[in-house]
Amino acid sequence: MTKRRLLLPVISVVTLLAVANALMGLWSHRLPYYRMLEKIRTAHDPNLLIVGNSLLTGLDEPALVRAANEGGESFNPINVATVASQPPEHKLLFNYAYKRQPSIRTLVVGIYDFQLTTLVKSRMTDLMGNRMIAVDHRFGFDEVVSSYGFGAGDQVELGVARTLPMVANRGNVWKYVELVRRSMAAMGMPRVATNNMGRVDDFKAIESASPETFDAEANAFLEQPDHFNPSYDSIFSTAARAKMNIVVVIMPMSPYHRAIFYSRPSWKGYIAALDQLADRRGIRVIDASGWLPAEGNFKDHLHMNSEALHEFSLRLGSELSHTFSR
Amino acid sequence: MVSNLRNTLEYLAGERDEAPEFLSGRFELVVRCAVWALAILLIYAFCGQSSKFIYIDF
Repeated sequence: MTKRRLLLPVISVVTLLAVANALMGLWSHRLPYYRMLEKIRTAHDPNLLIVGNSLLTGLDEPALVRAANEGGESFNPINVATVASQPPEHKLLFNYAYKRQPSIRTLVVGIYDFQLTTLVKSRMTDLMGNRMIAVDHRFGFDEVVSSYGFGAGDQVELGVARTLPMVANRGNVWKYVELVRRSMAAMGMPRVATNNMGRVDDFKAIESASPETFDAEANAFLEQPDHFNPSYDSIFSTAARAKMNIVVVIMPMSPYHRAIFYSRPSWKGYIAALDQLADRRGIRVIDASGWLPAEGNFKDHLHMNSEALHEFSLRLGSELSHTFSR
Repeated sequence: MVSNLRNTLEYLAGERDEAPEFLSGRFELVVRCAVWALAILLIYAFCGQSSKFIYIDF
């Protein structure tokens, strides 16, 4: 009787976990990272690939195409910029797009601060939400391990996450709990500024903690200004082998961010060194950081609002057409 | 009903030795399974509270 009392709950729990995993696996097909991979798979002969993070997700592609057309360039873009993504995810997305869409002839990468050169060290515990793209079986296990530089422990965790959707997509469940927590915490409190990506104040955490930290990151590159970080080094090497036109766009930043960080001598030195490195690798750099001069163009210190994204897209389309006609 | 709920919670928490009727009747095992399943789902949903969310649209 005692064994039976134990066995039935154990069987029930195992069954429940199996069902929950199956449901989570189905649900994962509706998550943004999965839909992005499907978008790449089903695109029709794109010739322009746009890679980046949340700064580029709202790009007005029709406006870009129109402006480029007026300049004599015909683009069929596919924008794989993904919210809350880092260079290793950009590399995985680029590799997948490169393999699936051989018609891509131009690569545009949107960056801010030291995205091209800072080494991103991620553990499995850092991967959540869109960063979980690595669990998709379209990517080989070894490809993911090398993209992130995972050690033995993280490789085991990766194997578990790729097998159990409940582990891989746990953050997408936690997100809803977090939204409930935020709404409860906001009761009776003064309103805080939010946008479609989260709380405006929270985005300060993805800027440098201080001008001194910013200087240190710039100087770290200036000591060895001969390579990008491994993810972008791989992206640019692959793109160059495929004879793609490669364009790096330093994304528009708010007047606040430019005043605090981009006005510093360290940034000017960094950009000069980055330009030289890009030139040696055959990469064109468009500095769009000052294209939008008003604080009202931005939802926070980093992200443009929809009107500004439209304006930026028009100008980028025009700039790209001029870049290639030179 | 409220006293039943209270008795159940007290039993599950170890405060009370006697199980409520529905927990000791024919469906005892099923109810125990349901309680553990619910506990697992709640732990799963709430165990990410130490995570620092910046972006919330993924």
